[in-house]
Amino acid sequence: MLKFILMGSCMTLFFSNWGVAVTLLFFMAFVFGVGMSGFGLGLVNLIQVDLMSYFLSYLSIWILAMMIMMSFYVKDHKSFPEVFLGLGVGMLIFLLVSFGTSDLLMYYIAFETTLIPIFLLVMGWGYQPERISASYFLLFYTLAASLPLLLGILWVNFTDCSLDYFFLGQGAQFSNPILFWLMLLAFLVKLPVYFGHLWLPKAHVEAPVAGSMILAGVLLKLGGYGMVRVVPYIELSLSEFSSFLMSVSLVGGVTASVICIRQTDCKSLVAYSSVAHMALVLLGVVINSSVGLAGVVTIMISHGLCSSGLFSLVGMIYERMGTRSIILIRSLITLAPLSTLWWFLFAISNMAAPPSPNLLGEIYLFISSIGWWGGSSLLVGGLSFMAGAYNLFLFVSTQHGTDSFLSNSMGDCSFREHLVLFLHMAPFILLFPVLSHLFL
Amino acid sequence: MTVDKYLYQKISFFLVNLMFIAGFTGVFLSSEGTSIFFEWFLGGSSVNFSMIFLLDSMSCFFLAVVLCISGNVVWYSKSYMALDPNANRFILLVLGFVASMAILILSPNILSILLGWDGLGLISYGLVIYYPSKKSSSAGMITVLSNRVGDVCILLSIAWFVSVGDFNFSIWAFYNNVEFSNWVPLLVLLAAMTKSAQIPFSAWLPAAMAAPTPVSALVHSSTLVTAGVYLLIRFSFILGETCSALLLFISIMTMFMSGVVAIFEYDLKKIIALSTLSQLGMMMFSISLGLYELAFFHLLTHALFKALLFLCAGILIHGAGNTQDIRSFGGLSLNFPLVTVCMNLANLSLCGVPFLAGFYSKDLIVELACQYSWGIFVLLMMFICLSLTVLYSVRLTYLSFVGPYGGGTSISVCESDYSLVGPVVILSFTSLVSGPILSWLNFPAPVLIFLPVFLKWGALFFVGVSLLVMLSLQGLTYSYKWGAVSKFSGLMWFLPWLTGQGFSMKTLKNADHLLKIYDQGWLEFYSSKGLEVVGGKVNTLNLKFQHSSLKLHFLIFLLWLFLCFIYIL
Repeated sequence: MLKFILMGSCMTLFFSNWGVAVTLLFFMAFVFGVGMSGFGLGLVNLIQVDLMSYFLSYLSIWILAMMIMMSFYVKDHKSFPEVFLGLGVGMLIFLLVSFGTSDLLMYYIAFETTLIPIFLLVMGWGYQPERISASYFLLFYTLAASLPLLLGILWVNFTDCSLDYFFLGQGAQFSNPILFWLMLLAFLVKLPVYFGHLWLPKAHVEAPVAGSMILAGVLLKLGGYGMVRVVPYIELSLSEFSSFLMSVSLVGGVTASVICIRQTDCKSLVAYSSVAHMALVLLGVVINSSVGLAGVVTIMISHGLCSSGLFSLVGMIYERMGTRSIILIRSLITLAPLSTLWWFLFAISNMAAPPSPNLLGEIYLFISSIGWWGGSSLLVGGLSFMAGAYNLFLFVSTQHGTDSFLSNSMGDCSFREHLVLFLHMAPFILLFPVLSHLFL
Repeated sequence: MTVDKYLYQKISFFLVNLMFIAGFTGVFLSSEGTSIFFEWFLGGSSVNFSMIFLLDSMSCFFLAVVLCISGNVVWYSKSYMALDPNANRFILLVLGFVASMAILILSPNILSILLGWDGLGLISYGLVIYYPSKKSSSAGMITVLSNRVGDVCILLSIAWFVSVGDFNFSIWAFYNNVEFSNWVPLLVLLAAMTKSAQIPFSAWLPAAMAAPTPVSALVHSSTLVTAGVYLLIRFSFILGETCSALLLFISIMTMFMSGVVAIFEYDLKKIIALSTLSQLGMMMFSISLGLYELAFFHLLTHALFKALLFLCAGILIHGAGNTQDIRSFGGLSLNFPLVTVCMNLANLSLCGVPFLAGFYSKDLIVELACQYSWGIFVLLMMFICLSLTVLYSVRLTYLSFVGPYGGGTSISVCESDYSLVGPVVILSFTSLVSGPILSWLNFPAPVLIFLPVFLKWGALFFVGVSLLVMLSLQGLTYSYKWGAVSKFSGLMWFLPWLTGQGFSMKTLKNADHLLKIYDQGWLEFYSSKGLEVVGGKVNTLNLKFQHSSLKLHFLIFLLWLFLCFIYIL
């Protein structure tokens, strides 16, 4: 793991050359994928890689490459491309640290550090003047929720004398509601679960396409990942609060997906759809069974790729038309028929149609939630139904129709953009058999 | 965009070849009385996770019928879609549709059924919104969302299937004592109802007629909508008593509703769609009585003559100046003699006139239903629905072929186009012969039926009488109005409102409330705005202390002095 962090640090040498940087990232992804798949680390202090962190680290490298390939306009407009790349690579390094470390405090530090690059990305490369308040909101909202986590971690250190994941939960188990909320609140907001999600649509709407991609693709997953990591310690309280959390996740998920349909901004719609998907992650974590965990991992990875792809599609339209409003964007099928295929593929993947791994994750989580209580099938079913509704709404209202008055000179996707979308979609589809082999 | 000149013919040829393979495999398997089972084991520790294909006579015959229709439809589309700029997209969508239908037909595994099921829903959505108009967009939405309910039900039943440890349900058919959750039959029933457009999900089937006519012939008459029936036939072994009773009631109501509504409908394609709906109700009816083989038999014959009906309707629409309002037709038998013959053949077959395809299946269902004692209500409704079928079919024929000329421009050039007429003739042939052939293949032994004479003749009596009545009424010409009844039926018993506009209006309004109350209301107030306000106030207070105001300093000094004084004391 360390060598990849080192490799990321070495990328500082290539800030001025984006092509080399992207190539290096793909090389890194390749070496990571092949080299770490056995999780063979030996006895290393502070570092651990298991299946979940392997997938998520891989995802971060991949999404970073995608986001750099998507933001060549930064380079073309010469709006501080070196700083942009530096922020991205810095984020990657800290993401790798947070997924690769085995120490809770280290995780916390990396978790908080990733806020700085995303804050700067939103503030520096966002589109509207509102980006200033949005970026402050993003920063302080998540920071305020995650400061208690530090107290919680220090508390755990005090009682257990260790913060290694391996020893986590090995000590005396006791139900402690205060500790429970200290540990979980940060992740609930980061995830974000409905009621703590307010920063997400705001940040997404103001963020540049790269910021949205990495935010939806990887940063949200930090919340789910952290939750899975701290759950062994708070298992007893978890079962105490499980009904409450399940209700929050299910009702919140359905609410978020209903609200999704009322969005007029494509980006905000996709952002709310991530809230709805992440509700399923919370569900899997709370149920805390092996199937639930499998669902959590599957949903996180597939949602990371899928929503990042959707954000890049929205970004492509924004680059061309200068608007993201569903009301204004119309009949793209006549202007850009090839991109319509991508829209369709990503929309149906986001609504968990086969053969997307989203479907697999949903099935896992359906299994575990029905195991918890049969009646919950009504709400998870509603969640799935609404997913179909808002994704197809997004698809049909942007692609369908004849009356396009905004842009008569819009070109179809360029080769680079096709490549970005393909590199989102291909691993996405290929992951289905891999993930189904691993868990079912 | 350049399209291969012979693209349609090639694909049609390919599909027809596949049809012969599937058909002969089916004949072989049914003569041998065996089935072939491919299983590709993918993994799974607690649940058997595999890709399974089941070739038995049922799946092979169904596949052959689907391929036969799709081959003809693709050939037909060559002329029908000739001027369309997006022909490549069209043909790809149709092929994708046929592929997902094949997956659905061949897999006895709920997981791979989902693959085909979702594929059918989404691709049919792509076909419904093929034309870029507002109407097709809303029709597509109601279609795909109604089908999405079924998808969710299948997803949930997959989750329930884990409790038996295997997604492959054909295995469980051999064991009578498998403990399925009560939810599974209900969910499967619900899924089948959405796909087969039973009440309350009926609204999408007439709406889906916004698709191009060849698509309607393939998708919304004979294949997609019968997927629900097929699913229930495959799941027949777990459909308990409660579900059957529920299905009995729903299917009869659907049959009745669609029959009545079809009489008041003026859109040619919608009339045919509603007749599809009533026949689907017929299949569901026979499933609910436990007559699965008969439902399957009716499914096959119905698919053939319904596709024929749609293709004929397409020629009429094409020829009569691109209108599908039946009032602008009339007296077309002089302009379209061949189409008239074929369409009447299909219509009469639909009515169950003896020795046409529909007769074999429908008559068997009716007689066996009479043989069971299900009460007078069921029997009466069944006979009424039989008459209703005749009524709307004859009305259709009368208004388009016999009645007074409606004023639309009619050019009969279409009949000289072989790629339009060829499929029609072929399908007419199949709907002539498919009845006896399929009955010989499906029922090698005759079914024994005991009935009193008046019930034996009941079906034929109702068909004959309503034929005569309708002809003597001159097909209830279009000026006929029944006030409230025609309004009620013209709006399809408010079902589109119930599951379409009304439902979505309510949901969207509530979504607005939620958005205003939570996201833009309390949550915002207590997070960003609240912090801003409270923080601002605290800051202002703090700032006041920072002013170097002499009085304040003295005041604080005095306060401290006072406190120290108290402490010391």
